[in-house]
Amino acid sequence: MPVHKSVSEIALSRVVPDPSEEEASLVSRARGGDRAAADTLVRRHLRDVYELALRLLNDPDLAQDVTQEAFVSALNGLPRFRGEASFRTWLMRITVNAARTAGRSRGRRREIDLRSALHVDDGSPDPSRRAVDLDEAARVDRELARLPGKQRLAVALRLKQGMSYSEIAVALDCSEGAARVNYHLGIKRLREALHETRL
Amino acid sequence: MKLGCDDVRDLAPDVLRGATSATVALAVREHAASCAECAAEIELIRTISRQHAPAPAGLHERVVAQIQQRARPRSHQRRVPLAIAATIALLLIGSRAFLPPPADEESAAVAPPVEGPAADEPVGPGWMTVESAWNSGAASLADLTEEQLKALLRELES
Repeated sequence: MPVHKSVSEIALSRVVPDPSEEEASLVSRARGGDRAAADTLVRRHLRDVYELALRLLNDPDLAQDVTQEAFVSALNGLPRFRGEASFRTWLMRITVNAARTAGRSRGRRREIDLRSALHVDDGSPDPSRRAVDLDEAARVDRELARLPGKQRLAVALRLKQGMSYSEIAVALDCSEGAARVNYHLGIKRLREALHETRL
Repeated sequence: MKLGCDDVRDLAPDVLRGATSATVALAVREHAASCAECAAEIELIRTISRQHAPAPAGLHERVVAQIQQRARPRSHQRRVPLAIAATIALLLIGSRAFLPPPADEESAAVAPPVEGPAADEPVGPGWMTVESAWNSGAASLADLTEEQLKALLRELES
């Protein structure tokens, strides 16, 4: 399990563009009260924010509330946004915090079947194949929901949001090494749990 | 390019979403072809990455409406304390009607220094401080001129 900057960072640094200038312009306009810019930012990040909230809370209704709260906090708090991280990373951090607060208020985490909320991009027109994929997806999801908080977050941010370890570190307010370790521990635990359920 | 297991597992999510160069992607695939452990992990990553939870219908509208609704009161928030302060100040001035006017000497002795024109400075038209309003002997709001009221509000706002 590497905790150093390795091929990963080097490879990504060549292909991942700098934070979008267009997004910076949208953020600047939204900060100045431009409703259309705020609307575009919401549209652009809505699915990621909702999905992250859903992953963290396993509760579609509460995830909607958290999504709303995260966007309101982020857009009304734009004067405090210094642009050190991308708007998206900042928004994810706000979402994580909002979900933690909502989760604490709600109490014990509910374990619910997310099959109705999930969509699997399998590209297969075969309904029976899709059903198998959905079952597998739901099984993975159940195990993902059982991971310890930090590992679940790191896996969700890395795989669902496509974030780099440095972005995860900002979103979770931890070191890059901790983000990487938590991701790999989460994946390892997930593989073990899935292996056990298949036996 | 030859990659080890740790690097392959680190890079796999980025390879699957097409965020690496073709050379890196090829190296990861070549490694996975000969390493069952990495291949299994990549398959798991693929399963998780393929799942999406589309935002429910109407959530976008709900979020945007909430942002606008919560943005609006901010302009009022500044006005409310100001209005309360103005009301209290004016009530104080109004209540002055029921108290005997303080003697000039006593007023001078207890009055804290106030920002405004010095005693020997010419007083501009409409100049009014809370202190001077208090001491003006105005029995009620009705006794203040419009200019004085405006000046008083300007002072409270500043």
